[in-house]
Amino acid sequence: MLQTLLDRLLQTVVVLLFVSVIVFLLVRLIPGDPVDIFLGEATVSDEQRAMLRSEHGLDRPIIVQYGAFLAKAVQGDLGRSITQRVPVAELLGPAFLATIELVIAGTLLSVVVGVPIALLAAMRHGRTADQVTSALALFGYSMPTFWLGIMMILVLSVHLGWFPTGGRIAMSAGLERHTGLFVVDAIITGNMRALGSALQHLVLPSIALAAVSTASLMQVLRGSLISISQEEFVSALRARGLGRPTLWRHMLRNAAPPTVIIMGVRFGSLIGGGIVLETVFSWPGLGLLIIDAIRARDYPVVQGGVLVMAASFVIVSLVVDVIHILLDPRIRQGEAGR
Amino acid sequence: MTARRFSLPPLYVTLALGFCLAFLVVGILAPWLAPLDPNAQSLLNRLRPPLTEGHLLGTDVLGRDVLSRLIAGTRVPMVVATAAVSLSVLIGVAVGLFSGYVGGLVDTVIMRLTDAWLAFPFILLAIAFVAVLGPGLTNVIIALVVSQWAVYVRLVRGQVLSLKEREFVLSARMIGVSHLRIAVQHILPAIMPSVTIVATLEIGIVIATEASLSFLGLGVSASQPTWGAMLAEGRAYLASAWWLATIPGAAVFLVVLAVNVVGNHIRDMVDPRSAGAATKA
Repeated sequence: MLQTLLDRLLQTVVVLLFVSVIVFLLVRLIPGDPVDIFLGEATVSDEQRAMLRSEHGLDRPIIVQYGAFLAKAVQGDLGRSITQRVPVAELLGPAFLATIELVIAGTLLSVVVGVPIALLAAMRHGRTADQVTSALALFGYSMPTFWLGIMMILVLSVHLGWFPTGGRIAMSAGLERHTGLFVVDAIITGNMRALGSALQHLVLPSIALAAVSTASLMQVLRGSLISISQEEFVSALRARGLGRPTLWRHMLRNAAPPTVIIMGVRFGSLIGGGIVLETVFSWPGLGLLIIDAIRARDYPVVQGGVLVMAASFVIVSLVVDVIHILLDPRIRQGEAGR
Repeated sequence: MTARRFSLPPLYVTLALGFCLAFLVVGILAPWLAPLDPNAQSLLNRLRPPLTEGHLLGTDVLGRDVLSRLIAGTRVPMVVATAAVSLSVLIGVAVGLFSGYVGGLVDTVIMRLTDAWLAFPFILLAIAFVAVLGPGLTNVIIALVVSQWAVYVRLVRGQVLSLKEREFVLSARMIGVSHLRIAVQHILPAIMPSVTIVATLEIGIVIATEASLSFLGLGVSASQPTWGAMLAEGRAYLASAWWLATIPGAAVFLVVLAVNVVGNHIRDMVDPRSAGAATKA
């Protein structure tokens, strides 16, 4: 198992390096002088330009520039924002936490909704409840998340006024920030008003975000449960007269590994779908930050944002794989390769 | 997943297939089908609700006919989906075929790169590329190809690995058929069914992604009506004109749904085992 884990870790490091190369080269694809692109200096003379260039190492070979970029990035230095004139890392921190809060809420929601429905569908395999579930799943992953978000705003916010149309918390809630996750902050400071406001803001974006992942979760879990139910050990358990709850617990345990993998893969689209959703709900996360930076041509922020988002995706995949290895005794004992 | 999949009653599949074909036909014939000029403004007829006389789906804030814009808007997703998916298939299949067939170190390096590429969230890569290349039809297509090709490399390479040890390939080798001919004439046809299935399902993803890009203002230029851009414009008028954001979004949803229904059906028909896992990535 240790070997598998180490291999996986090494692979992650390689992928992270590759991600950094892509992100570094990406911004070099922009036509124009890097001085203008990175420093946003409006009017500079040729001497100033040359000075800036050597000051920031833009006159050195590209491989040296990459080395410098990587060395700085590892230390958390991602350059300065052109429009806001603060270090990029200062902008990324709170935005990252906002995205994390949304993604956690979305994931929890998918599990809470998806697992019972998948169980129900698998129990009623081939009958109406099952067919309705499959149709729902198909609808779920065909739904453009941003449209779902807008439709919920239209009906539930604009017309019924049940939820705010966007943002993360009411300004008047007076929340003290500690962790950056507003729900957690509200709970530890005992600010019930802020908790209510934060949750109210969280409802619509997390439902929209959860739609697609719930659909895949339902499909995969249902599929594995059905195939497991045809395996011999289930018949054996049944023959021993085990009750339904115990039986389903055994089956869920076996269906967990593939489901975790799919949820891990889906996490990427969750983060991705989040980019567009954050724009819809004015949710001040990484996605909104990146899109705003693209519009303002603030490339250091775009670069930093893409890097952080891709890196967190890679790390989440690692965590998911580790969970998978721990959950599946066959891999744990090194019997089955991947 | 070996479980039997739920397959939709054929009526739904037929309907979905009809819808896909209609989308294709409308996309091709858009300039002739639109009842009015999609860009003609009429300030007297601003924000007319659907079912207004002369404007079946109403008008937008500049008095432009929503139905005509919707029809004109089929063209971009159709062109983008066709071009992006076929180019991705072309590149992905070629690389995967090469990598799997040659094997060894080359294969290891290519697969490591592919895995790393797939480590990026798909839409993030597309957004990042359009951001640096700038909006426009070609750039959107490039961005989508860049973020998609790797899916096919994975799929094809895995199949080639097992196929190249099969008897029909080995016997072709023995009678002296060249490597290129074996790869193209013997192995390629065997992998095409699963590539077709994945490509069909990817069409849905590409259409949805194009709409997202247009919605974010990173799509094809503003002069060309697209569903995503219409949605973005309509967002500002949610309180006064519900149809502006509702209708184009519903169009995206229906097309993607129809493509997925057809794709799922093809998958269940051709091979219930092989395709399922690959498309989830």
